[in-house]
Amino acid sequence: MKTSFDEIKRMSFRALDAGRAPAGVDEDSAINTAWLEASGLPGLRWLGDALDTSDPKERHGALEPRLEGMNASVDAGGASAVFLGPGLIDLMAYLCDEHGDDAVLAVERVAHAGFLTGFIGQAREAGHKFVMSPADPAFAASDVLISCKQPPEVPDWEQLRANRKTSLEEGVEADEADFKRVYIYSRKILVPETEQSRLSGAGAGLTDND
Amino acid sequence: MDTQRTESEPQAWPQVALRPAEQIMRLDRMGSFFSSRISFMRALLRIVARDNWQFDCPVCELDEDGYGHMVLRAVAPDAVYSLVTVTEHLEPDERTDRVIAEKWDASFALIDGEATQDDIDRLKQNIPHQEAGRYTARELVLSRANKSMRLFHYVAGELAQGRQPEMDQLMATGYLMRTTAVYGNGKFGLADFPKASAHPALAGPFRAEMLTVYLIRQLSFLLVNHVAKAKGGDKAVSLSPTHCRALGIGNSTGLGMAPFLIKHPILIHRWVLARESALARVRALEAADQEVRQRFTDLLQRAGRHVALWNVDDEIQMARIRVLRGELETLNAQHEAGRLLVEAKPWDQLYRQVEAEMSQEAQELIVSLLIELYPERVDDLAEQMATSLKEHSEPAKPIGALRHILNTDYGWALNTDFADPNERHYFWYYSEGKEEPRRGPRFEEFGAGLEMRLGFGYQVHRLAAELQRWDDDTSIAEFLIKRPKWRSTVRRIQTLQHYPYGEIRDNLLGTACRPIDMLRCKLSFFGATGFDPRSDLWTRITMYQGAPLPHELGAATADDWSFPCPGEIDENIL
Repeated sequence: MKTSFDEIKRMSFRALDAGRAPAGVDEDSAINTAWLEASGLPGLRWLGDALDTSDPKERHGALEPRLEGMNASVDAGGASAVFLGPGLIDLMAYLCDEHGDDAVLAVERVAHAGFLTGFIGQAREAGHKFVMSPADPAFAASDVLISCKQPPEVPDWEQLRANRKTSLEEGVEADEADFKRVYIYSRKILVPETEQSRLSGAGAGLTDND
Repeated sequence: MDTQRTESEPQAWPQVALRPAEQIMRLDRMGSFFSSRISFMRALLRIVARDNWQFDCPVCELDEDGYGHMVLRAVAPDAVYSLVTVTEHLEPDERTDRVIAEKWDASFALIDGEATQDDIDRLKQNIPHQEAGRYTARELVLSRANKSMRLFHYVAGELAQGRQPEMDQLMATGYLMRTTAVYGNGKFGLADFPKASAHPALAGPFRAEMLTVYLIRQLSFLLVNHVAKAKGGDKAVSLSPTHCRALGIGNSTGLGMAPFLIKHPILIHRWVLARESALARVRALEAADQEVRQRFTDLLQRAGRHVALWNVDDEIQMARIRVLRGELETLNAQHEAGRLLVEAKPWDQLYRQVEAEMSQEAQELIVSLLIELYPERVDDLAEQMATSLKEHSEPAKPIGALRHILNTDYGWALNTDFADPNERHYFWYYSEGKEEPRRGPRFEEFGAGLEMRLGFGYQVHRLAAELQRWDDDTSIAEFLIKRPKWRSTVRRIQTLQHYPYGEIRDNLLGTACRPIDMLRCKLSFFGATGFDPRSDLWTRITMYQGAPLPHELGAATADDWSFPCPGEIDENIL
């Protein structure tokens, strides 16, 4: 189905907000979902999977990094990159500020590691040199390294950029089932209607025949 | 004040100090703003006139009641925009301006390009359903409108009889149709903003939406002429240009606009910075020549007549208008007596006098009036009001720096007693009823757990309490890694230290908050007039009232439609 970057972002934000993702993580991961979809990667599927499979109590996004000089490691314990991604990128940016381009962040047992591709890509657009390895096209890995070493050939950042340009011109092509799954989650942010809220909570009159 | 200009630099004119954000970004002040020559409608029409856009109606398939479909076309030098319109019969009990409506008198989509038959067929199936339809990246804007039934039928009836309608009747309403929503930026699959803004004319905020409304205004004239012709045959006449100019397009605006101001703080900063910079440039002038003084005289008198025509049912607003009328009379009298503009820096002196002696309505009206006097000094600012910048955190900064910002910029939040239930009385939310934005009493209505994050003052208050448990030297990175729930709040605070006009310095959850103040602020930047609050929660306004018609855009005085006074527009506009 055809959709837009903004529609995916807004819907994903509501799904994450309703899913109790931390304030700010919901914003960043929503943008990341749209970025991935516009790039031709299954952001909505990863987001839907994360919301399907994670316990709301595991969506806090907090990390307990082990710091060893210029290196850091995080055991995600199976938590999803959808909720941890923004913090991991912040941590990597902090390590680079402190130690330069030799900093390395090892992330163990992270679910939906492919979701990190969008955060890495956006960080690169902002001037960072981050890469992730293994950059597995199937995104099956659960242990990844984030560093500033020579970019790997996968993913093909130029191809992802070209895909986003096409998405802007022609709309984002998203899988309808993935879209609908996240849409259902997004509806959970809506407050059930009552007669009181209908009559007094909002704006104009119920009929306007002037 | 740090007013970062990291995108395009405004032209370097001398200027006095900008008015501080703590003075401007208060709800009651924002609720006093007037449109100005850098408002989006004015800026758009200047571009349309400069580039000699052409307008026509290549498709008009309407029955004798005016139901069917039409295409209006705007041809720019480098682009074509087509407004596909569907008009339908609507039962009176179906006509509501609220988001919860399911049907409208007219529905619209603005296409980027020529409307093909496939486009028309596809959109006829979708736009009458508005939010329930699906759209593509070909469409820039989706909108709908209802008729002012009384005025539309009256005007059609008079034209059918070969008569022009009474100007008084037009003035009482101000429009034949009013929009109830104008959607852009990717909603429901529409083109994302970066695609629309790739067209230079549409690069500014809400330009595609403002173009749509201008076309809807023109359509409303075509529609009423069509109905009159079907009714009166050869006897019928068309609505005269004078009468057309007296009419704009109405708009009903509810709570949906308020969250926008909170969610786009850098953009709002750019809007307000442009307006404040325009004022500061004019106030810096050491002297005013006779031609500009005469222009000031004319505009001050016109503003007085404009305000004299501004009548609303809302008691609070009407009381403000009465005060404003008296203040404008005072200013006019002082000016006639030669007591204004007598010192060096005459505009600065005038502003200071008004600020010291008069209401905020008068102050903000004078701001718009002063900006009007010097197009060459301020018009470039209308092109500085967009932004692609995003909020960003600074993880390497220490908590001590964050605490310093809180203590410096957020006294309004830290000094609010949120233990008082009145200060957290309301929560804002989206309803299941067509996702209509609403505000409800937190302690009485269900749903506070699903509230929108608009209570930033409360968040700041809670963050300050949390930070008491952290050392000044701890990095923001470490704090956020361990307490990610503060990510959004910290990022906003760190960002907005560079964009001070981005934050409303009032508690939006408290009983004192009147959402219409936010609506008026935003609508003034659109260029709306006739602000007519219907409650604290929604307002009607008029757009493009007094604006030149397409064939008049080339006239030398076409841009002179501030403070519109329907009925005397021939003398003052063209």
